[in-house]
Parts: sequence; C-alpha cells; structure tokens
Amino acid sequence: MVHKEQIPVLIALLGGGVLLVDFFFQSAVLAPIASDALRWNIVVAAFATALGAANLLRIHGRRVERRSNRWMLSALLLVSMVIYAIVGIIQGPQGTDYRWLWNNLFTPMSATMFSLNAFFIASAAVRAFRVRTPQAAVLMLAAFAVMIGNTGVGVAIWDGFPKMGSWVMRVVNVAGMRGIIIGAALGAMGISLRVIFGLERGHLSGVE
Amino acid sequence: MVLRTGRVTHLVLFAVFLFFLLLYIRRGREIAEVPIRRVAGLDALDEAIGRATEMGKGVHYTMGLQDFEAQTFASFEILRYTAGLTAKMDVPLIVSNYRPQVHPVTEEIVRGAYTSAGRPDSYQPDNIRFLSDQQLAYASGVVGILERDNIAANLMFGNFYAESLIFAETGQKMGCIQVSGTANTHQLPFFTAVCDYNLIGEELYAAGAYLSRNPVQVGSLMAQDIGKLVALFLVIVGTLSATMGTNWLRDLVGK
Repeated sequence: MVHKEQIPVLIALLGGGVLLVDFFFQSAVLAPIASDALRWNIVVAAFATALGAANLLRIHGRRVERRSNRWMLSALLLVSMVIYAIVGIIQGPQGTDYRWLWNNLFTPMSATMFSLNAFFIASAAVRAFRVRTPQAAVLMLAAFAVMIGNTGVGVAIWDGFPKMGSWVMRVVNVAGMRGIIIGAALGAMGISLRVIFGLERGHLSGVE
Repeated sequence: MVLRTGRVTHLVLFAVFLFFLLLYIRRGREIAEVPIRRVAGLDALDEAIGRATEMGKGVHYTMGLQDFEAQTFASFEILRYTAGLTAKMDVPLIVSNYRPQVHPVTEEIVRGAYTSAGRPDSYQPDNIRFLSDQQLAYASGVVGILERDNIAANLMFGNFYAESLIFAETGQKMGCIQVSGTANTHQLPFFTAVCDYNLIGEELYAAGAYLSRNPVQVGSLMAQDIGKLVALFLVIVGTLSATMGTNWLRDLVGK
C-alpha cells in the first residue's frame, strides 16, 4: 500500500532519475521519456495556474465582499483579470484585442516597473560605496576602475584605465564568481540528489 | 545505452560525490553534532522576526522566480523555519508566490509549521498569496505588500532576477530589516549592497542543515565539503599545468 506522502517521492525518483541517466547516457528508449518528463512540467504548470487564479479570486473577492481597506484595488484586479481571461479565451493569444491589451496596458506598466531599477541602482551604489571599512574602500576602488575604464573621459585621461577595468572584471571578478559558482553547484547537486532519493521531505508537509 | 561524448569525467566526479553523499548521510546520526561555521544571515532570521514581534508588524517572505529547482528547495527549508518562528511569536507571515506550482507547496509548509508549533488556529491561508507569473507584475505586487501591509522584516531566499533590487530597495525605504540569499551571481551584488544580511551561494543550500541539524542534511553538507576539496585540487592542478603550458587536465575534463 503506497502512502499519500510516498507518491510525490516516487514521481521525483522516476522523473529525476530518468533525466539524470539521460544526461550521462544516450538511449533511444530513454530520450523520448526524458523529453516527455520535461514537457509534463509545462502541463503541471498549466493546471497550477488555475490554482493560482483561484487563490487570487478567493483573497480579492473576500476583500471586495467585506469592503476591506483598499478594496477598490482588489476590485480593479478582479475586473482586469476577468476581462483579460475572457478576451484570451475567445480570441486566443494572437487575437487583436488581446494583443492590444497586452501591448498598450501590460507592456508599458511592466516597462515602468523595470525602469525603477535605474534609480534603485544609483541609490544602492551610493550606499555600497560609502567608505566605512577597508573592504568598502577596496570595493570603491574596484568600482572606480571599472566605471572610469568604460567611459570616454577615462580613456582621455589615461589609456591604462580601460585595461585596469578589464583586468578587474576578467581576473578578480571571475575568480570570485567561480568560487561562488563551484560552492553553489555542489550545494545544488546535494539538495537535488536528496530530493530525487526521497531524503528531503520537509517540503511535502512542512513537518521536518 | 551509450555514454554521451564529453560526459565521462562528469560521470566519474558525480559518482565520487554520490558515494560521499550517501556515506555521510548513512553516518548522519554519528556526525549530526559536527560544528557548522556561523552563518550570520541565518542567525539574523531570529533577530528579524523578533524585531517584527516587538514592533507589532509582519514578516514578508519571497522565494523568487523559479519553480522546483535547487534554490527553491533550499528556500522551502528556510520558509519552514521562519513559519515555525512566526507561529510561536504570533507574528503575521505573508508569503508571496510567483510560480503557481510552488504556491500549494508553500501553503502546505506554512500550515504544517503552524501545526507543529501548536498554533494551527493562527494560520491565515489568505497570507499565502499567489501574485502573478509575470515578472514585473509580481514585482509590483511585492512592492505593494512591502509598502501597505505593515512589514518589519523582508526575507528573500531563492533565485531572483531583475526584480531583486526593486524588492530590496523598497524594503530598505520602508525600514525593514532585510535578509536575503541567492546563488544567482548576477543578483548577489544588489542584495549585498542593500540588505542587512545576505547568504551567498552555498550558504543558501546549507541553511537546512544549519537551522535544523537534520542528520541527512548535515551529512550532505559534509559531502559538499569533500566536493569542494576535490574542486580545489583540480583548480590548483589545472592552474599549474596551464602555467606550464600543458592542457592535459582540460582535455581530460572535456572527455
């Protein structure tokens, strides 16, 4: 008798095991199964989207019903979601009105959010470059070398600045990043193998 | 079944890692008391949640943009610990999700943690929120939560992309204590610059072992250390051989 909690462990073992073997070995039998396993991820995600939409409807529907604080924002979200879903279901993702909504509402709003990064990078840089410790001073000098090496003014002052900036990026930065990547890759391998072999189960119930 | 070209060395190294992983996990109970170096970011979780308790405010948790990958599983462990603490201290915990398939898992983890802490009645299903599966729509949702929902601690663990700085700067602006962790090297500088504490790369994966002292996870951590020693040895030998003008190690790894 298979316990309820053993089903996801079995799926992880079969799915992960097949993909792992397929990574190392070439097999006419295994390759299509591995390819299908990856496609199943898309199918599961599609079903899960319905769960996500149900969560949004439940939370924001309740806020509108109770006239909670800022309930009008919830109402706006629900109306937008329903209109967009109806237009999408009727016309499909290539429909004229669907594309219009996407291009003229969603895209500009996304671009607005993304553009915030320009200001946030400046404010984060000001905070990071405050020279309070010796390490911060090293960071400041490295940043100075990279930034001035990438500007026309830097080259005009001294043609060695671009070389210096490039050296910081190619040698110092890459060495540090590779160290981080090696450690992280081993950590990812460890946790992935624990999930595949069913040794990591905390995510199945929340209980250790 | 034929071994793929260029994967021979990968397979050998994988087999060595798997051997040590299973060995140390088998010996897990003997080595569970092995000291783990202090990770300030993980110690800061208690501080962050404690501060939220004192201020009578909430805790926000996000696990970034990926679905079921290694960083997300590592984040699940931290979420479980966080939810256990917020349940004990009776602090509201808001979890915002990007991936709809991750959403039910986070619900289950938080519910389980509240039940384990003996506070099942304090669990608020409406606080586990799916916001959007569009990156910047999700980002605007998180910004909304940070600005409007009275948050004192902003916890970000997982795989983040361009939204990382938007979250961190908004949290900073709202005066939140911020703890983050990611193995995405492109986002690490942003988190390091803005957050109070940051877990870098492997520290994120070590969180489960550090927080729970679970013998399986501690055993896995020791296997990772062996892996690091092997990698260090290969880096040193590779550097020396390349300096001497031979590429035998590069050729060997490529086989």
